Amino acid sequence: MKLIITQLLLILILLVGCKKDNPPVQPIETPPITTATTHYVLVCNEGQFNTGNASVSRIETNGTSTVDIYKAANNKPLGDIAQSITAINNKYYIAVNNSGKIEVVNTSDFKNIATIQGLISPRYILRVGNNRAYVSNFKLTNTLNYIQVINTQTNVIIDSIALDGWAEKMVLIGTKAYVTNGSNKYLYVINTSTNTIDTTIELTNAVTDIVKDNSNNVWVLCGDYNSHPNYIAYINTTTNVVEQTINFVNTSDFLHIAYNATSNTLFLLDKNIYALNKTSSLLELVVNKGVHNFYNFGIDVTNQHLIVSDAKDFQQQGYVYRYSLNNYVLLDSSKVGIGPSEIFVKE
Amino acid sequence: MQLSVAQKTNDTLKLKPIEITSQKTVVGFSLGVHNATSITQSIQNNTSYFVKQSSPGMLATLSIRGSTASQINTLWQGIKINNTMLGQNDISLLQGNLFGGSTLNESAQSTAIVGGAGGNVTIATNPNDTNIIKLYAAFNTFNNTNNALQLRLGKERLKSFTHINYNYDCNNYNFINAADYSTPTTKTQTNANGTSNTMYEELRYAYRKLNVIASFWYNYTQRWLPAAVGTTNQHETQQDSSLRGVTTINYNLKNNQYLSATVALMQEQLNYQNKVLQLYSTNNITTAIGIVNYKKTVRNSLFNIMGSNYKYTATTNNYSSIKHQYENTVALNFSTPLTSHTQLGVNVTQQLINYRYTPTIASVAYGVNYSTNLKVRATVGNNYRYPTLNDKYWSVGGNTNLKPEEVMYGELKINYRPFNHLIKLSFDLDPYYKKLTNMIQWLPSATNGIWSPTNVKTVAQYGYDAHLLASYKVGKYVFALEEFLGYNKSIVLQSTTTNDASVGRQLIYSPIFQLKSNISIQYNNSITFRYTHISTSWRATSADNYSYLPYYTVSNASVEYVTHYKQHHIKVQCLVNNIFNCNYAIVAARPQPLRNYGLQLIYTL
Repeated sequence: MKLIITQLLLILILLVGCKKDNPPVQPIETPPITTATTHYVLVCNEGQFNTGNASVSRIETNGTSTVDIYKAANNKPLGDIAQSITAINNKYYIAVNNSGKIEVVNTSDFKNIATIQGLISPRYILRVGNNRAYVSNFKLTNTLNYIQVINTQTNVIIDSIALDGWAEKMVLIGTKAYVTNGSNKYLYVINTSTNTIDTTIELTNAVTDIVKDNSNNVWVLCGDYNSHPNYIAYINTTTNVVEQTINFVNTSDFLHIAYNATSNTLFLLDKNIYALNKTSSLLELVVNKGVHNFYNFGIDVTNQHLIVSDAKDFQQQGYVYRYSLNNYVLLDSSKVGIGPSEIFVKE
Repeated sequence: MQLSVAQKTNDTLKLKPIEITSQKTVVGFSLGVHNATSITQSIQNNTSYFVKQSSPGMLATLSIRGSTASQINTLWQGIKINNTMLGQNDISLLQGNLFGGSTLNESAQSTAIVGGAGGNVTIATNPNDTNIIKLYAAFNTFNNTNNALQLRLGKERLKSFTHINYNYDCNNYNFINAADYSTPTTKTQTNANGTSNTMYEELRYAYRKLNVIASFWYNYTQRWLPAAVGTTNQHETQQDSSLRGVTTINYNLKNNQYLSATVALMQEQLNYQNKVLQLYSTNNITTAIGIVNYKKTVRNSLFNIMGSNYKYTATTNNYSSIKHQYENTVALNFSTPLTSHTQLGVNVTQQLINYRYTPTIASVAYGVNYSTNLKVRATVGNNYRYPTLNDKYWSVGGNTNLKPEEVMYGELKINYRPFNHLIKLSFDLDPYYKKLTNMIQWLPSATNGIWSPTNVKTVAQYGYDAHLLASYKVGKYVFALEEFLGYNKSIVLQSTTTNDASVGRQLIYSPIFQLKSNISIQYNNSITFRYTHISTSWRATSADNYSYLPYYTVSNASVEYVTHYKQHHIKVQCLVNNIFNCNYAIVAARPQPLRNYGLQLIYTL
């Protein structure tokens, strides 16, 4: 009797334990074929902090996507927190923030050709000359930080520009780089010929995002969750004077700003997406977030598409949605990596 | 035959006779049983549960049957010592050579101390240890040293137990650098060293019907936190310090009545620095506790009522102001034999937190002794886990409108012991089902993107724990085999976020199965060889389960030699961990050490 009971219990356990419980299988991806005229969208997927699962997704014009094109092309993971991607001289420079590096890949096949190490906490990259680019770095507090200058021919750090706090987004107007500061209320104007700060434009809140318009002036987004309500400011880059500010009272937590050069329209993302009437300062809700967790967006000028990343809960693969800029109708959606953020459009 | 089927706390376990409990002993390594050098490793080796630890000496949290760490209470001297700001307890800070009498309770049932929806760990000194002096020294190939001195003084009326501990951990172990994906290389861990100092004093005074226990426990741990593989070194450091004092007065009244009162004061500090990003976090919690407990036994029935008050005061640069939390609890507990071989137990607990009622928790347990060899116990009930102070008050993002996580559960415990002589065989099988609602998860808020805790998911957790212990004594040899098998499915049933790909998937960092096998051969009570084999299934690192850490198996072995001269005893234990150089990670981007060696020396008088 004792042996029978023991055997029955063991059999019961074995039966339950024999069931296969494998994780879901992710299809093996191969890098898509690229020509010089191929039009596609790249998405930086931040991944989970300290988990090393950042990736870059590529979305074709028909909506099909390669979730992790870097791994497909190089058979290794990208790193930790993919922040941004910049095209310079037929190469993509991918800032991998928490890995403190920039991965340099060919635009044609996404094969890795160099890794730039020794960076502080790279966020964004701006081409400022034939063989030079600026790299902004994150620092939470207003203490000494640097813009690092890299040689895009040799892919090494060649210089640095000291400034306080968190250097974030950058645009180039002529020979001047406009650098936002996410931890204080300054917009720095850097002379790219001398790598020195020419002018410091003072605003009233931290400056988190910047776009250049058709007249080569800039719009900046000011304020974050520590300093709202936020607002946008229009700065004349000839005089470096703030010519217009538009305050947002009711919807005061904008994350990003984008500019459609074709229609000369500004868009703002606070979870929903708004188009701004610059004359009346009124916001028009163009895309309601619905069930999505919109995290970042970009403009496909060629196709007149609004491309929006949905990071969901940052613990699973996200989606990118494509809307028509003519009537803001959803065109399609594509599955991408974990924590999709920055959008890069290969025009 | 009487069963205690509804009691979980240490006090109630003292009631005799107890034939079935759901407690499992976390064997203190000072006893030299199994291949363990810390409470963390002891739980890893000797239970079917999962310890999430990035690397040796670092933060270690426990998951029982798919629970989160904050659903598990850590109890010391009858009081809850979870960090109320984080909700969880870092079990790497619990000294194995001090708390050799610790136990683990996997049940979602909780009597007096609510919040243990995932079970609890009760840490205690080893009551069987009576040595006057114990000296302990341990070394390993990570350049870690652990030294401890224990003294036991006094006689029946007044006894003193003193423990002093000093650890220095260099943790410069070798691992495979997974970031070098195509050509992995062996690397040595850096920036992972730390020190830990512990002082512990326990005074026991007994006079007639009066019994007083006063305990003081001080710990200071300083750790450098290594960078995850493939990330830059942020020069992170963390200091944990705690000073805890508790006094319990027990008094036996007339007519089988028993009264006890406990007062406790705890001061905890957790500081964190990130020198690259210049992040500085300082967190202080002061906790004042008062507990009164009354028990009465009539024949074989037990009635117990307990009232407690916890007052937490948290001061941190992460909140907008000093925060207080008041927890007032009343717990009723009744158990009685129904027949000569069956017993019924009922628990009801009501709590007010900050003067607001929380869900009433209740459980009913029914136990049957079918024979002296076969015992079965069934329990159904509910429990909850209250949001942490960080959940409520973190600046910015804290959510004061959070609901508690609630658990409904049904558990069965079957214990079968067919042989108990020269051949011993014991077999436990514990199937369970839990439904967790209002699971709290930090998400970017729908309005402004700020991360904020939200009641998001409903999760079904079901499976079984199995335990097999077999031993055979022949001549001077004792052969023993002990197996722990845990099978747990923690499947998301519902989510408040639409198109959530986690629905139907396993919770992250919740292995579906774990198998721990321990084999030992002892000769003449003097030389013991032990072998431990640990198998752990894949663990999801993303909610959709597309990212996961693969299955791994790790083997450890040890040889122990004990010699005696009069009343002097010396024990030497040599350990080899990860014998087969398995390259594995428990936490993503945190590879574990390759093969390593350890040496433990214990002198007792």
